[in-house]
Amino acid sequence: MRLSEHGLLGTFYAAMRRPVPPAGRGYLRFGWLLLLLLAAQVISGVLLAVYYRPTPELASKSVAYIMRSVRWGWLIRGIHHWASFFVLALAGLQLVRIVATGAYQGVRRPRWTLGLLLLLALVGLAISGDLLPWDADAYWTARALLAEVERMPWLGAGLANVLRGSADVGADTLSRAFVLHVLLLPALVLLLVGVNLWMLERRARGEVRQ
Amino acid sequence: MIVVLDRGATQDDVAEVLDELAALGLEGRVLRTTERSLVHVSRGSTRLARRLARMERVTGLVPTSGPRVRREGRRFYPYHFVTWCAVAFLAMGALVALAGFLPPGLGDAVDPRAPAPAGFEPWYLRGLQRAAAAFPAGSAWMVWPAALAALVLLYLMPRLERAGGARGRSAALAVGGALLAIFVYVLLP
Amino acid sequence: MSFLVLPLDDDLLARVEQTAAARGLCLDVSRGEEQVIVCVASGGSAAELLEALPERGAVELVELQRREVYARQRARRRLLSALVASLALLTAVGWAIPIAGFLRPPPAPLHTPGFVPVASVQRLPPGGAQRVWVGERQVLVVQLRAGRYFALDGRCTFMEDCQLEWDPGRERVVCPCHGCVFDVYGNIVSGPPWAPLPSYTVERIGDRLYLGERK
Repeated sequence: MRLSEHGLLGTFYAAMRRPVPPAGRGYLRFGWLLLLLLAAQVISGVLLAVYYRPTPELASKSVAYIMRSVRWGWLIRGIHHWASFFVLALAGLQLVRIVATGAYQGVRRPRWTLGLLLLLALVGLAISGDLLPWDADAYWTARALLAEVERMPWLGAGLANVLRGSADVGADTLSRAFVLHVLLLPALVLLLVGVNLWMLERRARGEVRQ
Repeated sequence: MIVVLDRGATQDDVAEVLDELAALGLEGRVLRTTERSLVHVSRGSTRLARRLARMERVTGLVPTSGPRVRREGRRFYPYHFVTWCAVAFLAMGALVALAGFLPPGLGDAVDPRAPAPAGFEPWYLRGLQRAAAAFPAGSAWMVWPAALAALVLLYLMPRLERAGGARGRSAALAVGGALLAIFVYVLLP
Repeated sequence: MSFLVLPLDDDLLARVEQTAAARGLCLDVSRGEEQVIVCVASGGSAAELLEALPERGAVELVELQRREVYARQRARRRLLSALVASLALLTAVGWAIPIAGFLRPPPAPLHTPGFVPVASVQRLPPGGAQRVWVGERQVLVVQLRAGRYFALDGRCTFMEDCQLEWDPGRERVVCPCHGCVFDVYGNIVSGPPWAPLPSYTVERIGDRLYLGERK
């Protein structure tokens, strides 16, 4: 390889030029598509956060503002909304495929655990994201959800209290949903995806023994 | 890659081919046959040797990487990369189309005094409520330990399959199928 | 013209050479980086040798591809590269334009409660008016005489789609569509409207005028 054999660029070049082992039924592998959709989510999410205001008075108004006044706002919000749907659907299909083909054995087992955690984080993102517009639907969803959480034995009341943020569903709930959706869960997802990719790269380079 | 020269090729032509290969950083070895002169590109990336097909005294080339590529698979770039790009393009197009034709809505303003609006029931809420309803009255709280158990079961599937020995695969499929069935049932509107 | 391609396996090569010798074929073997090429120099063809092998294993037959084929392939490859490159450029532009546009501040700011700066005093001479956007509202800011400012809704209450204008001579806000006339407080002076014009509190702080809540 003449181009650059060292460092990050070298790793990237090597990864791009590496032969991909022929795999049966490659059309069922959604990994890279999921990665693309997650990237779309992160980018559209960051853009939306430029105009979104996480207070009960302005949350709904800012979302309406994005849809109506901000240039291309409808596109960014629409992409963010639909990509979240497809991310969950494809992640679920990926799970079904892995279980159906038993592709969680041996050297793949750590990535199975990572995948499950990732799935949970994605569901958390979907739920917290649904609350952010703070319209009537979001508000009542929050109440119903917290009522269900309270049913949990031992932890229920405490957990519901922490999620709710105060005695009743309101500004604090929205604030906590915002922190979850914009700061904590995306960081977790990025970490999990990063570790996943790193593990894949190590295996492709042959550094992992079966 | 084997470079096949014309029948009337001379030693000079063969030397020219070898020079060309050397200029590309490749190594060639002359094969002796009675009919034609052949040069086997024995070292280096044969992709570069393709341009020799343009030389005058060359009849053609024999690509020899076929079997190896079939065994090892094509490189990611450019082959799989192009496929991935096409898929990515289509996916983004689908997202844009959906964003345009089926935009997400925005409900009414929050009013704690008004009753809950009908119609909007996200899948996770509906799933939880239906699962809770499946348990006998009063013990709806059992939905949470059940959910946790399902998750732990899923996590342990690889180990269970290993432990199951010969029947492990079918057992795993059965468990997976059962979990999926429960999940779908709970989520069905 | 055909040849045999073998992986780098000495045993396999030995077997091939044995078979060839048994059938009286003269071989020319060349070892490459990744595989071994076997050329039948005389006595038969590579296809015959392949048939004669007791087990085929990983041995494959490869054929000559004439230069025209290569020329076509090259042309096709160039076309495909150009297509992919233009598609990639299209995608990059397709992403960059909406993102850049999204980040440009929209013409109308999001209305936040509290005082919002709307106009600068320099741009508003006595008797003059200025139309500003606050959130999704249009507001007409008017200076009647030195120091007296008024702010009224910019849309006629008769039919929403008409923009109001300031008539400095009569000191009235008029609607060019249906002839509605309001005064600076929003009261109806004449014309078809049935609802008075909403007005806003406006305060001058320094050089800027600030819009408050609706009165």
